[in-house]
Amino acid sequence: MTDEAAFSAYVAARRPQLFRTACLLCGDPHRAEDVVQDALVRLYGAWDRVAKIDNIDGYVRRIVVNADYSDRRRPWRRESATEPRDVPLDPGFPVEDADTIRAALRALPPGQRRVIVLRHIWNLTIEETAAELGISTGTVKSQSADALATLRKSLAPAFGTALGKEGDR
Amino acid sequence: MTDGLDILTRLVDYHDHIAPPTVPVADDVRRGRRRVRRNRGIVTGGVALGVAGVVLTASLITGGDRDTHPEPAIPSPTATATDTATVSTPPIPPAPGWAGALRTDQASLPVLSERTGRVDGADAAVGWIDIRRVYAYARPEYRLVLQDPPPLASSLDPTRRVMEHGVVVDSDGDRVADCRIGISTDAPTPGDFRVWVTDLRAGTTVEQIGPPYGIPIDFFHPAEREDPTVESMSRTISLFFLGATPGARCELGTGASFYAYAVVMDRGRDPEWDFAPDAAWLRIS
Repeated sequence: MTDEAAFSAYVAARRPQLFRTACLLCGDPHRAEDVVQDALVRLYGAWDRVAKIDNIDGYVRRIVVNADYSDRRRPWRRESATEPRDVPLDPGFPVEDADTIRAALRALPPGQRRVIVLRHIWNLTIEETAAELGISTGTVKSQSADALATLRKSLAPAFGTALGKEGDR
Repeated sequence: MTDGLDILTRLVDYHDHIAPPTVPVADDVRRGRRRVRRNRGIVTGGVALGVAGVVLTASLITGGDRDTHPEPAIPSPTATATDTATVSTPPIPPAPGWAGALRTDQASLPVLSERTGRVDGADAAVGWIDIRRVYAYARPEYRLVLQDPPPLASSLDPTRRVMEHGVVVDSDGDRVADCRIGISTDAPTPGDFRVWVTDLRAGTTVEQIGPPYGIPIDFFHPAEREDPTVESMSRTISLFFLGATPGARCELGTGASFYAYAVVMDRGRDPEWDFAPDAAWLRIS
């Protein structure tokens, strides 16, 4: 398989997942698409090098997370020029639930959102998450717990009182 | 099931139901190729500048034949930049209904810092010419973020509707436009682009109509997708310019200022415009 064919195969397999992750991080499908495009452009440029390592996913994931992170660090990008657009959903998923979850995610500080996505969507271990974000394992744990507590508070009114209890850490 | 797990279950469920856009892999491959080509161009340009510097230094040290004329900074209007990129006058080959000068009050426009000026209000009726944010990078790259994704270029009949985006640059800080870099769908074949650099001082334009792109500028444009069934979600146009195009000088160094513009023309009339910022230059720092 040529390098370009291998890149194409990788993109075909992983792009949807990258877009979904970027949506959770950004909260806006347009910005998510920009982040994914940028990540894949960089991946293409580095493919010769990256294809030799085992963890291509990790490389791309880092680009996506960093792209969102560096976006937010730039002062002029903290301004929100437009309202975030609705995230496109598969038919059948309740739109109200999606809106509630999206609002709850947006209410999280970016650091907590990244921890939640890496830990619980990408299923990284605490150590892997800490290494990925360059923070300590203790910070991962505390941010994860704080994020879950905030989510619980935000989601409880919509999804029932069961979410109101203290829990998982 | 603990409530923490219930939260995560809902979160994962939401994540799994996000419907990603159907983007052809070929689009990502093409964008990747462009970036690689551009990076190579930057390296090649750097090497060429280095060699030119060495040659210039050597010639100054050793002296030279006074009868040997240096190459002109701006080639003659008949010079050809590439096989397909041409230099022509008058400076701006007219798009249908082209309105001429972009701004008539350039000399009075204040200069904003990048941080205060990058965000532009929602002030155009057509979302995909409504520029909401602009960025300039030292690479050099200009990035225009639009309110809405533009339609596919292939869906626009250039004899009926043309969209155009670009930047106007004041290279020397006198608040008079010195060059313009643009991209439009004003090409004979629907789906193709016209890209150009106009040296407003010399009145020359280097343009490329249709592929292969790269000279005088390269770009990422969300309207470029080939598959007409795929709706683009990206709203960002990137213009890459190495600043070394023969025939159309355009310096973009520190101290230069710029503004972005966008226009849509229907049958050459009633253009809808947007400028970002609306009435100022942005300083490149």
